Amino acid sequence: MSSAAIGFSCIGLMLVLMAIRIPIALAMATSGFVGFSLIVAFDPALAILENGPFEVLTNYNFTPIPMFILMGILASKSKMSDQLFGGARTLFGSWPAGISLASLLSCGIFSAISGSSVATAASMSRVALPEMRKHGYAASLATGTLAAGGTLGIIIPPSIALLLYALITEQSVGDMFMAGLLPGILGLVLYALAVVIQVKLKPGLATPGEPTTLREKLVGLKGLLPFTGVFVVIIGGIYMGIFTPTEAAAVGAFCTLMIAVKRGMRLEGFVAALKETLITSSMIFFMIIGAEIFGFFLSVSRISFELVDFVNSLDLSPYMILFSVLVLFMLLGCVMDSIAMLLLTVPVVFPLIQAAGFDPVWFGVVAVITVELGMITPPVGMNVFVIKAFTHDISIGTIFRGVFPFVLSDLVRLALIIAFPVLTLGLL
Amino acid sequence: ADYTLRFAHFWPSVSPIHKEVFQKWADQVEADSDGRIEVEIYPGSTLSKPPAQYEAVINRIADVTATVQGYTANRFPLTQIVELPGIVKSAEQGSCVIQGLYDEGLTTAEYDETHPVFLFTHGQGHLHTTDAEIRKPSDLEGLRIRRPTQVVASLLERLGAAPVGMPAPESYQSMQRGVIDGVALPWEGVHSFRINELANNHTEIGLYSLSFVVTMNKQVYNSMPEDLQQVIDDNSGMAMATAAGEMFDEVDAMGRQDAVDAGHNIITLENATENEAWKPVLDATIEGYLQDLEDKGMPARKVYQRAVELSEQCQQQS
Amino acid sequence: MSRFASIVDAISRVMLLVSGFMITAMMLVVLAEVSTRALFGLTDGSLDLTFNGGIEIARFALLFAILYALPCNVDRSQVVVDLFTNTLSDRSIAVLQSICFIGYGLLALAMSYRFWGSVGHSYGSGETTQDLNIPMFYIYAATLVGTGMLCLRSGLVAVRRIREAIGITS
Ligand code: NA
Ligand code: NA
Repeated sequence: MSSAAIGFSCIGLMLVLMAIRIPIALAMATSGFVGFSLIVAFDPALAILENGPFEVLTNYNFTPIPMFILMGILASKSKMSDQLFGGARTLFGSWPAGISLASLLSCGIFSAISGSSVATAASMSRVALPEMRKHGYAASLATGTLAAGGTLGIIIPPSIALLLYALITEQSVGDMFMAGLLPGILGLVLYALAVVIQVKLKPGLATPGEPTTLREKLVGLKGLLPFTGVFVVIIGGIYMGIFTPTEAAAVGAFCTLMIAVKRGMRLEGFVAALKETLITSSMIFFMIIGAEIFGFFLSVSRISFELVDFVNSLDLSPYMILFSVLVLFMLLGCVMDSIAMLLLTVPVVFPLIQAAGFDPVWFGVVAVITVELGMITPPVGMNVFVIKAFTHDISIGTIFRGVFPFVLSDLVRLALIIAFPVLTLGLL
Repeated sequence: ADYTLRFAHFWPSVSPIHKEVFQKWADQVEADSDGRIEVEIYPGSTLSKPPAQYEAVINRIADVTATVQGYTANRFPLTQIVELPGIVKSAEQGSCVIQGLYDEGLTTAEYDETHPVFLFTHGQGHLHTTDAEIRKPSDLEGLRIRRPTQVVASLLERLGAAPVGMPAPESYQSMQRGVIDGVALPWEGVHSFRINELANNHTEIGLYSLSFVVTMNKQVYNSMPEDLQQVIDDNSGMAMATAAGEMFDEVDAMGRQDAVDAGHNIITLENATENEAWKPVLDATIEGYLQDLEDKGMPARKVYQRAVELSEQCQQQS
Repeated sequence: MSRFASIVDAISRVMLLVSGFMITAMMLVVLAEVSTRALFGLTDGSLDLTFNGGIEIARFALLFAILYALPCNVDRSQVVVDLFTNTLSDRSIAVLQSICFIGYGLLALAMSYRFWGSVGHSYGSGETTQDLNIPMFYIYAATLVGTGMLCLRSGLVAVRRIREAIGITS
């Protein structure tokens, strides 16, 4: 069997394992291990079981994940998040799905801090999901909002994905970040529209809020203060150069801890928060480790190279090339981690795109949005899996269903960005 | 093909070092072996992440890698003597020194777990800062500088600066926001990490260099028939080392040209190791490194002595 | 068996305590790094409390925070796709779960075997961490404790689930 054939078979194996209720982490690790030993050999495959976890768990870029989770848990234990969403509810008054909109807005702001969408989805879910559930929002809408909101993380600067793209393709990092800003905001607006339209079509999805007076709204603003304060410290600190985005998570967790202590949290409460943090972090890192082991196998299967070669051999017109590259990204995104995918495919497709006469900065934004779509599409959608880690009673199917309208709105965004390059390049 | 070699490294596939050194090596090996050896390159850390790449070759996750000795700290202490200030003048010359030390057997024992193909260094590492102009050691006081290696960290500390550890790709964002005031990088790194967008001041001082090795899994090499081993041998050693060095020098020149074109302030300190203002600090750092190894029973001074001689010889050759 | 089980459970809980300590340490070390650096910048270097190795501590704190939490959390920290298996009986699910835990046990066993090799390799090799010069031997040995316990505890949970499955005969 050729490497590519083994590659496709083991992707199949992984999907079958997942379908029969094998935990996602185990399904990825097992099929990655099997595939790697078939393509390379057994002993090296054993070695990826050592290198994979060690690489993931000593990767500095992953240190913010448990910090942001701790921050979310502390915020909810100290009632900061209650206040935040209480405030948002009075502010939005009888607007449809006010908490969903507030969550999306928070995801957008949070994206400006974190470069990773898994981190954004994880931290916002811990805060916002219980609130939406408490107020009778449908499970699909609540989880879908957060899974999609998390993907804003990758494109609103600072963004690890745009940074990598800039370094790979020798574009200016500053330009890349500026180019991501409007498409990021556009994504936020379209997501909000997706929420509003859904709720108009199916009012049962979200309980409408009570109408509130201007006076009440102003009082409601007070509830936003503590949490917004932490946000301001974090964002201010990053933009004033006091700490890096990676360090911001720990600073945020510490500020939240201080507020929690002031509100009466004692050692016992902190230990409980740590326990909860560790359970969720274990879940997420189990999956990241599984994905890493699977990633070793995907690399040696050379599937992405084969697919790109195939597209290359078709001899297409510029827009057909772009179209097939994007379809390719979406297909790969179904089974692959988005950063790994950018690293593997961008160098190979970039010359094609450049030869077809497309702007490299513009293509970077288009590519990152497309790759990010893979985080919320079935069968393998990392954001969906992460949100599943916060819920016991909601099935993966429900979350994927809830995400669907947002996938549509992302496709609309892609179409707009492709049709109007000024959306990306206007600020440069 | 009888043998398929998976060659993993961390440079992006658009980088000149990938295209002009590693890809050419792969093509040459394939051609020389009449296609009996096939080389599949995995650029951009897609097969293994940088700190674990040497380990990955020992374990045959990859068959060949190009990696930085310093990523596995204290595994190649004698090799890393070439990283000390004053040894490397240019990438080509530095590569000649590091390969020379290996060929003479002075550092060979450090590589007994793999089969080295060739070794090289990048060019001189300089200081690049946003606002601060650095002419003399005291100009560094109070600056936060990203440090590439532990040796540079101790050097910066001696100069009153605060060495900041962070992943290299993070330096751009950190410099943009002012978390750090500057970086220590060769011009090549300034070019690849796009530091010229942010740094206006450059002090060419030659603080350090990094050593690299292209190395192969030992069992894979040993399992090859003699004629194929010969193909690998023909594409090993000094010629490859200096070719890699030349490539780095070219990119160094590009990075420097960017800065010149942008009208940046470039201060050049010729022979900083002999410059009376800088010499005491640089000497103390060198001495500290060598003494530390001597204390552990390693022939550090002997290797350093030879490195200094080779540095002269290689300079004249290039 | 039950004595062995309670020892494994107890050790896992102690390791979870270490994890909690690591998370806290990670937060405080980053905070210390940030504030000393800010102080250094504000005073133009005259107040230098900066220290070496902050990144490294954060990285290894992450390693042990997660690794030492896995044994205790292996039976609570799994995300499964439940699209097609809604109709399974409790008993089949229990059987399936015990198979999964055997899978985790085997995976952890293979990891332990590999880390055991690294412990041996790194002993006396002189290889250390980058900044703090901690011998890699200690790091690998401590990692081995984590994967070893993950292996034991996964096995233990698998046995418990099988017993549960047998218990659900009616
Ligand atoms: Na972001
Ligand atoms: Na997907």
